[in-house]
Amino acid sequence: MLASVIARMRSLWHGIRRRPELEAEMSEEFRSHLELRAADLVHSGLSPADAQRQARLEFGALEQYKDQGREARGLRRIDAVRFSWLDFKLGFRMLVRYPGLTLVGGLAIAFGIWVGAGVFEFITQAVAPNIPLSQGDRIVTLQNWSAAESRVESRSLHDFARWRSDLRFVEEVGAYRPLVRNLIPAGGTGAPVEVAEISAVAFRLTRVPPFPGRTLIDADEQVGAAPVVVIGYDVWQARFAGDSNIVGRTVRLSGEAATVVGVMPPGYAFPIAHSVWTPLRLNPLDYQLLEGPGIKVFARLAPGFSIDQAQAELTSLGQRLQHDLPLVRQHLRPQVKPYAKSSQVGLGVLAGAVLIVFLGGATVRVSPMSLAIVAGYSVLMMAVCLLACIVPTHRALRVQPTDALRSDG
Amino acid sequence: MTDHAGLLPGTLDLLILKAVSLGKLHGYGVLLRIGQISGGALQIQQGALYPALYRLEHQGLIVSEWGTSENNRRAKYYRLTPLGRRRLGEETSSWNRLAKAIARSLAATPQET
Repeated sequence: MLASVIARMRSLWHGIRRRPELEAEMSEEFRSHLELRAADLVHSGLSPADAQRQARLEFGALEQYKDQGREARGLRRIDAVRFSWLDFKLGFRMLVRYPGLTLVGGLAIAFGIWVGAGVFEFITQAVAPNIPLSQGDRIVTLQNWSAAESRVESRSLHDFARWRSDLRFVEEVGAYRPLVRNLIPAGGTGAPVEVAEISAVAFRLTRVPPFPGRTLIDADEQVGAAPVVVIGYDVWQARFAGDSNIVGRTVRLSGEAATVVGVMPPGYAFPIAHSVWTPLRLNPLDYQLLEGPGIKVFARLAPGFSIDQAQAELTSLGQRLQHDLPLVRQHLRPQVKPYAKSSQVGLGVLAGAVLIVFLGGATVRVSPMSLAIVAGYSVLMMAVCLLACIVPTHRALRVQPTDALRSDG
Repeated sequence: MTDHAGLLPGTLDLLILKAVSLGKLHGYGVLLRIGQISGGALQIQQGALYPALYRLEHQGLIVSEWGTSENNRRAKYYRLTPLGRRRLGEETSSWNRLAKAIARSLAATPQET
């Protein structure tokens, strides 16, 4: 059984690789047969011309047996998917000849791709969300889960300080809190914007350079440092008309003056869908444990460490902290989760994916990777459609006239 | 009434295997050998021989090589492989059992039923 399968595979490979030689050998073998038969017929008394004619008659239809020979070698199936440049030329000529049909068909295909890509992207982000950043799958969220209240305890400034100083399996630990501020350009009118008060480390974690200017730096977080702000590309375009001298200008954020130090490139929206970033200057010492504003903590897994190892380290640290204050902390369960799967981020990425597909590029900043997926999917679908047109044409061209007549009869 | 008989479906492959088991042959030689060993009783459409030869070669039951024919022309010769010899044995046994069964059935009389 195995020997037979190997023999068939070898024969098929030989047929594909040396197809022209195989065709030539088949013709030569048939010719040799006819000559041998004609020679025998001459010996039996026929003239050479009659012998050749008789030999051909006895042999039968040469082309038919060649075709059966190809089928016997398993090459007919290969022929069915083999294309020539002529197939493509004929296909394109038909498209040009019937422009109306081409237009309607093209629009129908485009609509199908649009809807298909949207569903595909929605399902992909729902099942395996990812954020479009360098090694985005290694960015994690650190949080305290309150077993008593079945919710995330976001008032974790004290824990954030300990996580940042004590953890080794994660690095670039930072935090942010979302705010809505009224952004007022100098001499302009104000409008609300989504602001992230965020640790400067966020820009090192996301590994996205500014465009132009600089990002926030650690010194900006110090109490007494000059107030600064980094704005997103869309805000720069919409609110400052792409002013090339934006860096160094002063704006007001809900009444507080801040100097614009940089602009982030198009598409940048970390941590979720933010377009303005100011330094996070919350001091844990200003608040009691489990009090103060809510924050969200993010980090990157240190090279060589898994999320399970990071969870083990965080749990260990949590147990030590609980040992010191058992009554206050007994209901807290510190957790490490993939950043893309944390609830708000997941919803943001999911919504972004849908918006990208259904509203065009307006929300590219949420997930540029989605565009690559959609584009790749579109190209794949177009290739499938092209093949779907070419295969029937190709097969129709390969039908032997005799076979076609026989079928009609 | 003629002595010639048509081939039962599936028997051409068996006859080809038998013919090449007696020595390597080119296509036309296979035809002659089958005619010889059947006493001229079996008629084969000459061209139909080749798809069968290619099928057996594809299955690894025979192999081919180019050589020179008796009239000094280039010809392709076929010979049996070990796999083909085993298949010939199996097919021959199967055919003999079938032939006996059919012969016994056809020889049945009313008294035996």
